[in-house]
Amino acid sequence: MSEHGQLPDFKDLSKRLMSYGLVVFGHFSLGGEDAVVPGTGLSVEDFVVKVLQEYATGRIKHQKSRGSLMTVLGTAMRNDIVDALRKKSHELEETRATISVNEDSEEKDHEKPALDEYPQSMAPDPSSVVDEEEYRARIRTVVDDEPPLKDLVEAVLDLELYKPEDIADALGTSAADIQNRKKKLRRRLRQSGLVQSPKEEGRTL
Amino acid sequence: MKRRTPEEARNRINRLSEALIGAPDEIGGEEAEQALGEAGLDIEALQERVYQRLYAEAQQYWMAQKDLPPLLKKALDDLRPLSAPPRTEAELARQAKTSVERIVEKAKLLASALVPEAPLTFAESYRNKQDLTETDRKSIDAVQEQLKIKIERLKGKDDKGQ
Repeated sequence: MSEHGQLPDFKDLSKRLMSYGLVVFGHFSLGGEDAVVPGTGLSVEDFVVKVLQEYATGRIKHQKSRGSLMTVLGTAMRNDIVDALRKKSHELEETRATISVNEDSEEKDHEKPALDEYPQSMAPDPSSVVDEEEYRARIRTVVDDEPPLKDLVEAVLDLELYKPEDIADALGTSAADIQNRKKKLRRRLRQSGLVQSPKEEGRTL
Repeated sequence: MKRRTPEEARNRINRLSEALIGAPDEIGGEEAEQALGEAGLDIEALQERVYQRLYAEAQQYWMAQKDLPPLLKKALDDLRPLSAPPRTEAELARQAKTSVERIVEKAKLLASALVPEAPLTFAESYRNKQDLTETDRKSIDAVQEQLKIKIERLKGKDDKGQ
């Protein structure tokens, strides 16, 4: 039920959640039509369905104090995506240890993990995408060629300003302009999901 | 640097994310449609897939002979694809209306593809034919004029329609 006691429009919710999910995937260098969280096969659509299922069956409740329904569901979905990446990064650390032990041992050849258990070479490393430093570097790379977006990113990342009004004051512009820049940044992130930070580009998985 | 718990690390990234791209509810329906279009996603097909998966969830309730939670029932009603057989007269009317709207939309597209954007010029080589009488020429000119008027009228309607 929505905050006004009305039942929500699920067509609208599914569309908006899908769009938000694409931006979140873009944040973590996951882009392209068939993007999935590496090693899990979970796509944006899977996360949208999960959160809608949980809401429709009462496992997620909408409380007015937590914001609008879209914010509650979008936040739950974003947390699911980050958790999936983090969980996978944890598993990968263990897999890497197993791989390095097995690779030197011919006797234990049969114990080597299957090929699909090795990280995909084109996929971002989940352990880096949930790292704050890497996250910051990646966002900077995405906006490097567009000064208004670069200013916004610097205000948030360097000056630690979080409210649109505070960012607007620091940049000498209006809060409405900041909202527009955020919209542009969302678009940029959706389109540049495959952009990797300089650190990630140099990494061999 | 202080070592953060996974929960704290996630909350930090979430805070930065919201400051940079806004809260989830800042994405409106229009922006969402544009974004999905740019990503090459068919919204109707997406909603049909979501419907199928929620339907699978609903089957568990039906098999257990339990009532559907009201929100799940609403989700299935909202996302029910147009290709599914109508269950009520209202649903039938909605499907018919949408189908007609789609046909009209396609017809408009077809008409705009048939009617050229550039100024019209007619082939006039017939004027050089020796065996045409003056009456023949007048008749052909009249047909040409009528065609021009008809096409201009069509173009005018099409422009208004857009």
